[in-house]
Amino acid sequence: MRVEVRDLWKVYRSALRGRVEALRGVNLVVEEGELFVVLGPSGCGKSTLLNLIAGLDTPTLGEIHIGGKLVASPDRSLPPKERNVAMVFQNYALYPHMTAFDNIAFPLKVAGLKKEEINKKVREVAETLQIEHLLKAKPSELSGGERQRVAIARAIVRNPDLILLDEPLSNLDAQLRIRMKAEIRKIQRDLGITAIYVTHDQTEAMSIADRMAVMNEGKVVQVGDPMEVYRRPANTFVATFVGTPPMNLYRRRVVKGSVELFGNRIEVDTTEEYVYIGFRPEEAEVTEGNTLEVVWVERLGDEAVVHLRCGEEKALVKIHGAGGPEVGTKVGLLIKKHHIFEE
Amino acid sequence: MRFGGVVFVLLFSLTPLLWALVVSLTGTPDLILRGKLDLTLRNYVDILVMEDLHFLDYLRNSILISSISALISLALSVLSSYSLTRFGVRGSFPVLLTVLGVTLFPQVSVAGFLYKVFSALGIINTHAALVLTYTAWSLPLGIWVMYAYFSSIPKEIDMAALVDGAGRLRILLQVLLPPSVPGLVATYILLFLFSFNEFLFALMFTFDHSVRTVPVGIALFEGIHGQVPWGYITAASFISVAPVILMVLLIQRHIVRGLTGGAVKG
Repeated sequence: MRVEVRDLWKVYRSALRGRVEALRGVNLVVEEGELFVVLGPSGCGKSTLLNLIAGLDTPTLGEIHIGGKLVASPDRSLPPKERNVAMVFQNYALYPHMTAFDNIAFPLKVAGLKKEEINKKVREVAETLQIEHLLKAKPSELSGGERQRVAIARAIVRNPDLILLDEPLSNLDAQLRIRMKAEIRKIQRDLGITAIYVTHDQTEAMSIADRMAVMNEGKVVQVGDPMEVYRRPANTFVATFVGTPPMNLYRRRVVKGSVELFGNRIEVDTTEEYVYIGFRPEEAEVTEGNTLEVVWVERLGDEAVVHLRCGEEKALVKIHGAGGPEVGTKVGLLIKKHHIFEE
Repeated sequence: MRFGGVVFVLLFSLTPLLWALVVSLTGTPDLILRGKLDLTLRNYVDILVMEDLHFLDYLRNSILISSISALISLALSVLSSYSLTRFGVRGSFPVLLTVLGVTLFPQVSVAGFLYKVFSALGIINTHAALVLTYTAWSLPLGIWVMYAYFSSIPKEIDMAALVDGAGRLRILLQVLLPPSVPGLVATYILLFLFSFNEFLFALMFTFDHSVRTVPVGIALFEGIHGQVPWGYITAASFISVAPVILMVLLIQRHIVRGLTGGAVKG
């Protein structure tokens, strides 16, 4: 189902922090059948957004439409059960006293389905997630990955219109994360279900998203497909948040329509006196020269990240192959591609 | 040295009990004077069979009143802790502090007033008077214990159940309470003991053996010639501890933590 979020605000009072604006005018459209990632650092409001879409909270201002139907506004907010939305939590949130079977069956029981029907549906979804052999186990007897499978099974068993995933992989170890990521992607495609996936991990976002929104301080700063966000970040926040290692970013004064950066002269089309100029670690090359000092060469298998320093400023550059500059030597830098951000 | 402290504490706290046990088992309370110990179960038999001592009435009243008031108090504690921890009630902490503050009043300060109220209602010397009082008086304890317990259950479990379509009551009954059984049992025992041991209210609001509870009953035992019947008092005390110990033993396997394990990644 298509999800539309219009000018959504959420303001609440906290005993410790006073007035908190968790969401400040969020606008989003999630198309039917796509996996839409909301990416942002912790505290950016992405979980609040998810809770509002799920119906666990009511907006201060703005509207949410699911499948063309108004489900949330300040005066009218449908409870979660009338939205046919499912949710997967970071900590799985399984019911501890119930077996995996009962956990998965719970939403069906609540919906008042017949026993045989519940049985059939639970078996089907267990097969999809390859957890048939675990159905009698309690959550405490399952590993993290198994728990997450049960949680996903519980979410998809009643054919929701929309599935919300709140950092579903954050509690898994690296290997398992890659596997589960592929699996979530496959299940989502196979079922053709619309999914909103919240994460703070930009690699995860880049690899799984059809489209993504980057959020910061309660606002959506950029929406687009992952490569577009990567190649053309809308501002300095997106530029440094998306991509590992992060983009190198510097503030420079514009002199006669160009700026100088580590021996490179770069033309800029701006009327501002100062601009931010950046380049990704893979958008530059280490050359002969004596502008920067090599501080460390961080090996990552067949490639390496060279940490460079020039006075107070640092730069990261990716190199390929086994070689690389010696630590302590002086090198130059050739910037092949750059990004300009106005202040 | 390692056990010195333990031995001291054991001696310190157990000696009076041992003394009471010895007294309850002798026919001659002034055994120190006579210098001899004649062991007998007569005190125990007497208080169980002598009807004019009414000990079994007291015991029945105590168990009845304590179990009912603990049950009501627990039910109310569960409901209030559920809303305090889950509904984002504004000012839930001031509410908790107020509840705590109420417990700081000495019993004497409300006893007189309660007496007037109960007289007016015509329920002095009834079980209802004590059940009402104990329920109210133990409620803060129940709320605090259940509040702590519910706070330790992750909110995501409620959120998951809400999204799964469950209503608030179903969440409480089917999702929150089953894994809370150890907490409920422990709280019930606390509330039960609270009422079971209470003295002042029971003394004021009861007149005779039809309602009187064990602590008051024992205190009002009279000897034949006006002397203090220590043998009966101590024997009665030991017998009235029995149901409590029995209760704890029967349900101790429930009082284990860790039933919530595996719900969320800890």
